[in-house]
Amino acid sequence: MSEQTKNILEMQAIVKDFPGVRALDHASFTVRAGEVHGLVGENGAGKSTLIKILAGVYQPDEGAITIGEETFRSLTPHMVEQLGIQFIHQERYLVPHFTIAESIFLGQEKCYRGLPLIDHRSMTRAAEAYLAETLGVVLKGRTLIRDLSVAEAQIVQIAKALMANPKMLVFDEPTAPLARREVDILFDVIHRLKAQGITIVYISHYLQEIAEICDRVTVLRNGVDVGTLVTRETTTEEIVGLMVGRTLEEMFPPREPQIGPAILEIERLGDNERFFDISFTLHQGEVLGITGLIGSGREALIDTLYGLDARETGDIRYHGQPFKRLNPVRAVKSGLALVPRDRRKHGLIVDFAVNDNINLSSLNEVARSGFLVRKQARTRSAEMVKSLDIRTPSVETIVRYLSGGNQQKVVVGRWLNSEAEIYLLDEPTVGIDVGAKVEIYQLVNRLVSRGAGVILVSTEIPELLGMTDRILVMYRGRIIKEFETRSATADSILAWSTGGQSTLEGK
Amino acid sequence: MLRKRLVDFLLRYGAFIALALVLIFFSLRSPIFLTPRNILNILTQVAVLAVASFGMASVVMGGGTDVIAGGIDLSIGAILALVTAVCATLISQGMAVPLVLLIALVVALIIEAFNAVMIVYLGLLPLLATLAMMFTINGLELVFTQNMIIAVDSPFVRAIADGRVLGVPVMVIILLVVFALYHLVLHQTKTGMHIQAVGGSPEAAQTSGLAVKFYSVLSYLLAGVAATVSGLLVLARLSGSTPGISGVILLDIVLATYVSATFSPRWQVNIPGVLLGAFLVGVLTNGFTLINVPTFWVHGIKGLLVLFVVSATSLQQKGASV
Repeated sequence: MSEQTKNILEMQAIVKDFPGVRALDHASFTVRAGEVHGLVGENGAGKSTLIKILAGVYQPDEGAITIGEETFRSLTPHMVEQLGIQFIHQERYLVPHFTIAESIFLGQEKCYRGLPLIDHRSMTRAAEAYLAETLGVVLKGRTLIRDLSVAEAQIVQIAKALMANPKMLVFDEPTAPLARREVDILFDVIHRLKAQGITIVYISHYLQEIAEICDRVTVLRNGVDVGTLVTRETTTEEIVGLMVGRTLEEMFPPREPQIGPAILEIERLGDNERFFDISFTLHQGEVLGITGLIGSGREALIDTLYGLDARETGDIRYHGQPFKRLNPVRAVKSGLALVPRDRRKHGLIVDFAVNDNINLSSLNEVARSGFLVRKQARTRSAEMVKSLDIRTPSVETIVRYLSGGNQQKVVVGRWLNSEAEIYLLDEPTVGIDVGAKVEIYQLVNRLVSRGAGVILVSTEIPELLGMTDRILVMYRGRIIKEFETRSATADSILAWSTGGQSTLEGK
Repeated sequence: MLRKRLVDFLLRYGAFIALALVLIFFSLRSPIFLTPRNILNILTQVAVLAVASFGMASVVMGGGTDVIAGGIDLSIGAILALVTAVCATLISQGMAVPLVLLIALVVALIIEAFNAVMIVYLGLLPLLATLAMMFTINGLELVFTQNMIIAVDSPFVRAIADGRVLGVPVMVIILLVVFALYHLVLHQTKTGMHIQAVGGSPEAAQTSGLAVKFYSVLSYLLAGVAATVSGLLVLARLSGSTPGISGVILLDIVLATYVSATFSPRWQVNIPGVLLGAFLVGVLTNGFTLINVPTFWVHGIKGLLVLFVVSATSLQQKGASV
């Protein structure tokens, strides 16, 4: 560690408050020039807030940011760009109907000399040359953005960012939508950029990639940085430990699983497109975890289990009874409940009240001859609010105004009301603060102690390790590995999620 | 594989094939259909529509092709009608023509500026904002004209209406000049590219350092310019101003503008496509008249075409998100 290696970025003791929550609590983040520095943390740890402050989108309440030699109390997007920092966002900020050349040169189009008219041909050639030279990628400049794969579009985004000759690139969850082969291409590009002296900040929750590509990694938890480690000298377990903060025993409520007979049997289920030949059994009182990267087919599997998508092959048997055609209506009638991954779009009617949402799936209980009995409905929802500790001013509050965690509890509350027997929970704690997460975990335990079976789809390793009895790992549409949770480790789950090769040596 | 190639081929060239079939159909039914004289006739008839549609296309390109949330200017028909009324009144009162044109342009630009402010700075949906403006301007025009026809007898107006240069009607020449200008600006200049970027993805435009609001406003002002020229052409055709112009023409403008996307390999609203679209509308009207089909049918077919084109664009949008 030489004294000569200068820090290109120093965020010092950043404090950021939002109404009701302190997102960053004196967090610091230091990046050395020329390194690839990872930034990890659970959802709600403050990663995205920290980066938005760096991007000039938010202003810190306290703290300072030093870029190169200059120190600032706050930044604007324009300043940040001038200072040589470019961001590769999760969203593809590209115009779908533009060509690659038009996208790369947007704002700095090449024109004929003397005339304000665009020289498309030379612009196309320049774009192709630029891609080949700086990124080692060959693409035709006239291809439309919408005809590119996600990985190719990302390359174009990177090329565009490079046009500004940045000193630092910040990648925000770049590999979420990529296949393994495409991730390798991205890593080649990152190595190239590093060789050109560009500093990289790499935000990701794929710890295996952090280990592969980053020199150092900073862990955020509850709005503060809890450690900066040299990746070569640490383990995934250590990083996860820092991210979660407590030992797994502390984080997850104690469970005494009493596993009963099978209630759901899936045999050779497939849609012949995104997932194939899936077979498993869910028992009463059991929490079955399903995990896999994007593209593993797990999302399609859940949608099919709930009847949202049709299946091509396979059988679904509920309590021994087969289902020929499944749709959400029949699923609910048979005792299935779905807590979907996008609660705002699919889980709640955001413009309705807490009361309305909680009773939504069990309106028969609060109706007499088809007419709603409002008093009864309100009583039921008040009970649910109390029992789930949903923080809301009243049961008539419009759900849109609740925090993510409380919204999620409303969704779960709706299904608790309906007394379902099988719960499909799809990424139930995404975007929820740690405190609320623990409460959701307690809820899950209550469900299984009542004899329900729970399928928990998640990509958060600690959650899988702490909450499930068994874990199924999906890869490229198939179940590649089944674990008894007590014998699973973070490393092994990660390794199987990416196809079974472990790149963590000597750990 | 073959099926995909067939589908791709149809998507790319289907509209051209349809246009060709329509032309063939009418030319078989009527011997004078495909003569140069009749073609020029059609172009003269659609000059008003085409020019106004260039304006509408500017707004759609700058605001996005989503019919509900994207850029649209439902008031453009009303604005051009108002321009016609203003010009007719002032010219018949003896004001100098250049001054009249300048006043008309300013009026159109002020109205479009209002639209732009509502949409860009107040955040109103273009569909609703321009709809409200349409009713307002229609009302304004009625007040201005007292619902009466205003006849104009002016050498300038007659020159536009009847004049020819090398055998080509002046109206067609004006159409082609406006076409060339809008095509150049919107498809060949940096400004045009930026307007399209703002319409295609405001976020992408913003992160590229473009002044998103400026280009949005500019697209509405371009519509104002087109509305002015279009209003002038109406004045020439009718030798004056008549109440009721704006309603009739709006459907045609919407059709010509959105059908332009079917002529483009990128399935985007574009200026050359608008010219073809306006020509198609003219062909349908002219053709059906020549073969003695009642205009009722033409309205019905146009309506169906609008439905088809808007659905096709919408379906295409769904599959196009990156």
